[in-house]
Amino acid sequence: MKTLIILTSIGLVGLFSEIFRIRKILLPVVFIGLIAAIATAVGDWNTNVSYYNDMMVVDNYSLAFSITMIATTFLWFIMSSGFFSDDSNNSDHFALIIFALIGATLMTSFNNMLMLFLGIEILSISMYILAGSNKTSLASNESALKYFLMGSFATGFLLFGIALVYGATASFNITQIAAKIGTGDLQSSWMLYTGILMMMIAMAFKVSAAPFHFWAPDVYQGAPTVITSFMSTVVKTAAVAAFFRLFIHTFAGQPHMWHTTLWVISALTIIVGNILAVYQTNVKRMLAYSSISHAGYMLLAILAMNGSAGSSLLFYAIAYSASSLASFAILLTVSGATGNESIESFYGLGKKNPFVAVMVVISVLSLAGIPPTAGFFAKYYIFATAMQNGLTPLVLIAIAGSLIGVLYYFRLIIAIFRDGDNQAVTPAPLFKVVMVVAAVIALALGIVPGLVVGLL
Amino acid sequence: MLSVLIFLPLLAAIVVAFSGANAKKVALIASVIEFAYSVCFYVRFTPTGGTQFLHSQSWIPQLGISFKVGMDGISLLLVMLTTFLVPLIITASFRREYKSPGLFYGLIMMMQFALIGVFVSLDAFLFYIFWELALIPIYLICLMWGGQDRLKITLKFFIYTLAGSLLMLVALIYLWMQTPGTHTFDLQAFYSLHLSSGQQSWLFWMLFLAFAIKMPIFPFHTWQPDTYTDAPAPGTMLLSGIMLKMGVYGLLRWLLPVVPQGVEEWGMTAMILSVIGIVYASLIAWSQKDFKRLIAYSSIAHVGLISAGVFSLTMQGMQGSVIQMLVHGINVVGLFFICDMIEQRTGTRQMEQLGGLRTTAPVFSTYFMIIMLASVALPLTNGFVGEFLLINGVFQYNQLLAAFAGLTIILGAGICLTPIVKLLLALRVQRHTISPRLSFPKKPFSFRSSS
Amino acid sequence: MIQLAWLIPAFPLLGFLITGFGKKFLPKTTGGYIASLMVLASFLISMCLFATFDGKPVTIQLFNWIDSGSLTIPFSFLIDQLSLVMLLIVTGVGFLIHIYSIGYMHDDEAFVRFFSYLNLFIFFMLLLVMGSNYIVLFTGWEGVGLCSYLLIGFWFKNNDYNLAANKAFIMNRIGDLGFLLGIILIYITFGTTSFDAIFPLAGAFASNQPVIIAITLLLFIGAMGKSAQIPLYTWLPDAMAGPTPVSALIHAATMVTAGIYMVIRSNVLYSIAPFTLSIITVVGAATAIFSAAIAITQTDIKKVLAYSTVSPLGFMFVALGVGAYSTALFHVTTHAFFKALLFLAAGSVIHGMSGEQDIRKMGGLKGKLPVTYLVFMIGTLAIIGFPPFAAFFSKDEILAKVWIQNKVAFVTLAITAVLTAIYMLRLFFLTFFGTFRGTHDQEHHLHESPKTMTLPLIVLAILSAVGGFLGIPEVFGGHHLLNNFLEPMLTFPSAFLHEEASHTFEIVLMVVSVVLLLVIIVGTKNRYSGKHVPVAHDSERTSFARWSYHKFYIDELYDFIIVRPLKYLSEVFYKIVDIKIIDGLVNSVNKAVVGSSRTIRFVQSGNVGFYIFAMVFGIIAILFLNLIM
Repeated sequence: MKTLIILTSIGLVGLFSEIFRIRKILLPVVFIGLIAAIATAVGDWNTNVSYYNDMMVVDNYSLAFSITMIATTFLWFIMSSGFFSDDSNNSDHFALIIFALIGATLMTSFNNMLMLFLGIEILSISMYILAGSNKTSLASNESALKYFLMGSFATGFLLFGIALVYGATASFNITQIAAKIGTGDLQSSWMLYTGILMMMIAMAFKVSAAPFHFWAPDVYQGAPTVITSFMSTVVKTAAVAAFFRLFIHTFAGQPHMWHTTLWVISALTIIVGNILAVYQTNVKRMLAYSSISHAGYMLLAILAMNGSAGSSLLFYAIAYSASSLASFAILLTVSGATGNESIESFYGLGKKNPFVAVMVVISVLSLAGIPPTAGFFAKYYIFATAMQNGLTPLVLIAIAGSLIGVLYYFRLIIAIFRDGDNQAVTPAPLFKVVMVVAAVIALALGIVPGLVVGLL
Repeated sequence: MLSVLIFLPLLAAIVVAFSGANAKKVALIASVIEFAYSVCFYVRFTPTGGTQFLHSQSWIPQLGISFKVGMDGISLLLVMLTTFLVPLIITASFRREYKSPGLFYGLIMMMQFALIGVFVSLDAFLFYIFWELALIPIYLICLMWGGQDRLKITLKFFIYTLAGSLLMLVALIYLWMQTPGTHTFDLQAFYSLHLSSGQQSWLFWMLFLAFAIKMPIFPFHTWQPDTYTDAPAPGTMLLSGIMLKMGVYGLLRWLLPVVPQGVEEWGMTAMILSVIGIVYASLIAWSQKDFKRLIAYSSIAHVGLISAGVFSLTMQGMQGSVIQMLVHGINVVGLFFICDMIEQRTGTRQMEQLGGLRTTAPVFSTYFMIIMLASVALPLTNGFVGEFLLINGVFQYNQLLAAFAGLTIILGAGICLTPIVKLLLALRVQRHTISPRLSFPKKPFSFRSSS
Repeated sequence: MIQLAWLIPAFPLLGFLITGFGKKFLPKTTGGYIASLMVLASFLISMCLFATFDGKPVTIQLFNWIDSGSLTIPFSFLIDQLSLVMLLIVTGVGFLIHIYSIGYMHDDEAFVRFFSYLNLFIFFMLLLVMGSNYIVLFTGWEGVGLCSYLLIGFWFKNNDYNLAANKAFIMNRIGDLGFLLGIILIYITFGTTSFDAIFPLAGAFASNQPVIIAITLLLFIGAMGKSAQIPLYTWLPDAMAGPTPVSALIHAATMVTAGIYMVIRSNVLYSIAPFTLSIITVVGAATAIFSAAIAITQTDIKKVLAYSTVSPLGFMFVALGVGAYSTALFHVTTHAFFKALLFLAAGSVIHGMSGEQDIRKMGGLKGKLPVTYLVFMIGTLAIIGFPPFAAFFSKDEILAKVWIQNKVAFVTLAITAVLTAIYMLRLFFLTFFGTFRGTHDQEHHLHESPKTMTLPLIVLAILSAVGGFLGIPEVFGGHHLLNNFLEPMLTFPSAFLHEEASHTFEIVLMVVSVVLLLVIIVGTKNRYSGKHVPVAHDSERTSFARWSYHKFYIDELYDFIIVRPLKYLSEVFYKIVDIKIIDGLVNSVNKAVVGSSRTIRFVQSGNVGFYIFAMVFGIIAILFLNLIM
């Protein structure tokens, strides 16, 4: 709760900083605030308190994901603080990011359908604006519009679903709904069934699962790269965490209503995301597709529905966020130097800048899920968890997906060892910090996964 | 301490990576120290004492994963092979200048680290990590220092072998799930599982595929000739000399004892594939024009015999396979070294363009001949005992298959004589020559046409 | 004394090491003398062993070689009657040939290397005959094959020689596969590979048990390769590419008789497998007559001798086939003497003729090479079986034994004997009688060989002349020394007739053969010692002669039905099965992924309308499948 309050305060400071002309100290305030937010969240560990008439519950699950997302945002700020500096509205953008983060935090700690909806909307609306934050770019505008149009469409389904579930259970409260589903005390099981499906569709849209993923590549590519990196890390984590919380805490009593459908969605997402990425030569678009496939892997945790599912999801989210952020930092560095985001701009990177090359290798290995990186353990953990619930066929599909993943991820490794031009590529110091931190996380969690595994 | 033996090469890798132009020497010194250290283990080893030098430390206790290592006879032999070959491989590359030597030799030491890890792991998860870890350095070595088509070939190699490994991972997770109580990846726990024959059947295939691709066994071998041919010489030596043994070792340690019924049911199929591989690869090797590719195919044939010996499930077959693993490791490294020397000094590996080396380089030719004869298992060379035991084992399993496996005696001779005649003996009007002394000329190419 | 037997192979091995490593430093002749001395040492030890042998076989164990479960293979030697006889032949003839080589190879630049190979050969040959189990025997077996390979291709600058060497090696390996499988089957059947353990156990087997037949047949396949029997004989004539002393030592006197040695060694097994024996008889008889038919038209002096080696080998196998093991060994012994003699004498001729080997270019050498002429004559008389020279006794003994068991084989061998006489005398008369047909240059250089060459010739000539007395048949009041000596270690196949040929028959046989030989001698002398030049072109030959001259096109046949299909198969496997099918299948997975990626990326068109349509379609599908279905 304190975390949420601190975040809100930073957001408000950001919003008013333009008026009070305190833009210069805004960034330090944000950093201090985020650290404070993390600190309070850590302080709340193992307390498990509910707030506002049980509207939200701060338990370890929500705290772990909140900390992950706040920390990711922290790194994100390090990376992109320079990005908006020549922009008159940059304080607004900072504020919007913080608000998106607030939405994300809500999405992990809701205990009421209303809070879920609020969280999703706070997050989404901020993102709609941020996607179009590069006002002079047609692509950015287009992506914002697309995101908004299709996002609204999905929101409709969410509301519809919530209404139907309410109709079936006469409650918005997660605990009560779960209890009623568990005992079978329902007004109409068809209503519940439909409601669950509607909500699943909406959540699938938010996590960009197939066949509701169409918006993702276009939006990811069109949005400014820093925003894309935020979307593919914090936003994705929040959406998956909410998806997990909703289905495991609420609908676990009636798995037959959603399990098979989600199984198919997950398989489809893995296959489509990976296959689509293969033919891409634009690295940003490739990363967008790959983020679709990662959503597919994370859905495995929801399907697993057992004790270590949450833990495996958390691990995956951390590993994925770190490597993804690193890869976007690399992309920003390279495209900043060469002026485009194509795979050719990576050629010869091994010679031009060995440091960045090593970073590319580590983050690519992690994204592709090769030991000894966190990405491997994340995949292993989620596969093992899923197999314990009899999902071996799906795991085999996921493995096929990982193999296809190697096909396109390794193109980056291959590219950096090819002959290229002699244009110098030098990452900004702050980018270096992000890359190093991400690489350390990727390796540390790969070698000592016990740091996270036991948390949940 | 066994952990020191495992992690010393990793430490060396880091040091080597930052030692710039001296990388070669540092790597050589490190690998020699490693070899000396492994000899200590050899000396202290009690032949009948089972698994020794056990060391166990919890790693991810929540998931029943521990850092558990130890060595029995087979492990020890393969570790010795690794520590023995790595200095040799480094020495063999001494006269070659590879770009960014720090990285190159660092990766070789990395590779050694992973290989030793594979051979001593007693925990399935640990084993898997090392197994995969071995793949990355060799991939990078082939990618960065390989030949013409390295980009495509190495990626295929990586994905192909990774596919097998991931199947193995699924199988290992499945086995883990079957262990009682809080699950564990301990090898002993896997050994004491009681699995139904249905479970064993598909577990067999998942594990077998991983090992079969690594070795490789027909028909999962098509990555191998390209990769061997394209990799830089030390890479090829690592791949063929040691890495291939990971697959055989996997069969012996992780397949046969874990799914005995599966082996009983499907062993015949595996055996037939191995034997087909012997004849098939030998025949193909026969018509190769590139010397390196010829060795690559003949290596498939040799490995086929080794795996046939393993699946014969007889004492002789198993012992033969262990002996042959060592012997093949040494011989094939020698052959690839020879191939590298020829290529380095004449600029070609095409046998049609070479000839008459025996006239210009008699000493070299003698060594060449001896290694070649060892690889066709002439008695009193190192190859004979292993091959005899292997064929013996296969014969006890099935006499017809043994007759086919035995064709290696004839076909192997054909394969070995072709390069001897073409490279050493035949004189051609226009030929590349190799300078008579076993020292390297300043210029990489010595090219002269003789009358 | 007998415990020092390991020295016998040790000396040549030492010689090999000295000459092998010292070939750069050793003065030429020194190398040759060291090598010869080593063999002489072995010979002397063998003589001592022979002299002190008390009739009891002794096993000398050196160390445990292979130890795998129940399979224990010691590296050990067996000294018994058989190995002693073979030891004497190998070291004795070997020593003479070493001496001969010092003269013959004098001008060769790789003189010392030649001797190192020769010593290595002797070493392996000694392992072969001394081994106390099949594995040591096999080691020697493979080793002599290797030396044969090295020595055939000794002049490696000639690629035809290299190919001949390859052919020899691979053909031998075909036999070796059979041999190895036979050994493994022995191990599986008897649980051991040691002779002294196997043979007592064999008594428990009934006659013609399938497993024993399989073992003996497999071993015989090995013998077919090494001893050049149909269908694996074609390497031996080509092996004459090697220097002549090599032909004499390896491809006439010792190595090629290893197959016969091995069968005699395993006589206990063969005696309980009469079926295999009958096959051996057939193969041996066919080989004998077939190669004689080829020899009769050959024009290369060494080729004639080569086929005249294959043919007696066939004789020996027939002898084995009728269970006359000691007779076979008798023939091995005499054959070693006279065939070594003939080859060396031929070498002397070639030496004198400055390397010429075509008998059509010789003629009238009688006066120019008197010693060679004399010894060659003795050799020829010995091989055709003219009394009292060596083969008169051994060959007639074979014929007599075969007569009892198998009349068809007898007729075949009799015809072969006649053919042998014809082609050997043809060779002899063409070479030494008539007028010289070579170039003027050759005539000018014509000279008798040096002492180092003629001395061994003379010794061998004496041996060829008197060698037959080792086995004087009873009909002449002899005791048949060799037979009696070998008796303790032989068994006789119970399925065969036990009668001896009547003495009358033997005498008739001898008289008939002597008369026949006289006729042939007169006939061939008339035909070949005149001024008449033998045919030079195919067109002048009758059709049989043409087929015979071209060796019945067997090489071409093998090339056509085996080599070429294999080459073709190899190409097909590589270019089609491996690259197109198997690898194509693997690559098609990649192609499918990339292809589908290329295709479905068009779905991602950027059109919001389409996106929403697709989403709605998905939603409807989900709802429909869940709620309606």
